[in-house]
Amino acid sequence: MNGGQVRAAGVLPLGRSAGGRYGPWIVAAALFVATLATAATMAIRNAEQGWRTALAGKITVQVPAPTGLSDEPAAEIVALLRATPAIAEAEAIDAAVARALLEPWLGAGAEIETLPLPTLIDVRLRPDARVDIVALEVALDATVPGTRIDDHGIRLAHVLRFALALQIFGAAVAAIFGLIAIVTAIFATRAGLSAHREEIGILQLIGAWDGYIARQFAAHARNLSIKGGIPGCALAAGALILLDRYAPDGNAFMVPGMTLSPIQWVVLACLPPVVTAIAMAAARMTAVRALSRVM
Amino acid sequence: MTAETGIVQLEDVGLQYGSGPEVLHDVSLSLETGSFHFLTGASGAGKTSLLRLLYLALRPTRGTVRLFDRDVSRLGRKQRPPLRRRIGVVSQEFGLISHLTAAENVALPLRIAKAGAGEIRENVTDLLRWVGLGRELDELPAALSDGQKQRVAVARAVIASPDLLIADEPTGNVDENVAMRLIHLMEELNKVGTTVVVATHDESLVGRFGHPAYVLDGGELVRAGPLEGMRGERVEA
Repeated sequence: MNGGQVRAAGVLPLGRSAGGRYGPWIVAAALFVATLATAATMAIRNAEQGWRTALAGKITVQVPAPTGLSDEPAAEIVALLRATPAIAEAEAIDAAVARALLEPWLGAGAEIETLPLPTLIDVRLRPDARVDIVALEVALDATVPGTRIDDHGIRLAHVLRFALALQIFGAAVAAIFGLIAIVTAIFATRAGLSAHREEIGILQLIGAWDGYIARQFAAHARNLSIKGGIPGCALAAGALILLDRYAPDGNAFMVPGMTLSPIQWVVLACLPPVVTAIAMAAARMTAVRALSRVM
Repeated sequence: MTAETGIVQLEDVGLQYGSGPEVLHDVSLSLETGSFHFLTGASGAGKTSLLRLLYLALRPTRGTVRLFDRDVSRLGRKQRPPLRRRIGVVSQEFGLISHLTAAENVALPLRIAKAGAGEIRENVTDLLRWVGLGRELDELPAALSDGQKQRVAVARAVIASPDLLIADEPTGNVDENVAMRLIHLMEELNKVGTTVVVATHDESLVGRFGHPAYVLDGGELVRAGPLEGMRGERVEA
């Protein structure tokens, strides 16, 4: 006995329906995937910016060495490159460094010194400089036959195109799973409208306007989204932190890490409230539309 | 046929469910503000359909229904709830929400009207005590007898002081004592200005009170006024 206390809780027992019980689990799963997909999209974007910074404005020149160890042809090429106005810097990579780079691929016991390795020259272009790569390669080839230019820009363009495709894919996955969370709220609303037709009829009879009834469904959608959305998003955040620990340092092997900026974490944290707001609006619209078809 | 000016006016009203036969034919009547009327007739005569027109659960197929001087056919969707809040409805099936307590069911019209929590609690408690349910405030409908449920339904219908009280077979599920008590309760409300319409198939009940009765037969209004001396007289309201 509580002395005729009138609870301010919702008039319709929407939380007791099957949709009310299982809905939060579906929303949690959807928000978990949506959060991971959003994070992956942002991580790829971070990596893309890193690749741009690292590779933009750089080319590598390969100078063949018949002996494999002679630095003389390379020195001629370096001199020629340094004399080119568009080039800010040209530096031959030390043979020992080049061999060290190969060691992980060929094994510690391999006799790398005996291999006819080309000399690699790192070239940094001046900012905003336009270089005719073909003409430069012809000139270099004329100096030391067989010299080739490896233009990172072309490879970077391929990588960036792929990165963009991955970002679009990630955003689409995030949108689809965000939509699943919203559709769950819509289905819960429809199920509630059907299950509580009698109670809704009673409310209408005593003068409840559509907005009053629709608000009950919007509140139910809010509860559903919060109950499922926050745990789903938090679980995804935990997974991201764990993944980041196992990600390689920096951009090793071109693999993007999962380190996100503070703003990007804020974006992820905004997913549950945004999905909740949309789910509430969708539930309200669904209810109002359904109610407008009855007296 | 013309109807007199009143809180409810029906002129040549016909009602049909879908493509089925007409269940009300050329019904015209007028209820004066503050009047008390019975609506009687055999089962299937059209009493419930007529009442549903009065509390805006149906629209007439033809003719005019005017409530509080407004033609209900011309009401927009947003104009109907304020009008419904001026009408208290008691149905034979009680119409209580099963997961809400007696007090919460009675409080619904006040909650919808955005009354304050203190006002709601006070009015609900007072009214339920007045109808003899002071000890059942926190009981769910499932724990109440039919008579108690009907009193809760009546309390909910009158809590917001409606201008018009419509009761459809309010005594159908209760014993005679409770039935008399409910009608007396409605008479008390009538004394303070509420217009009351009570539908019942029990003519003996109608005979015990001196209120005028409308009699429906096969969807037609065939009599009006006190039952005695009105037999066979067609209503020309």
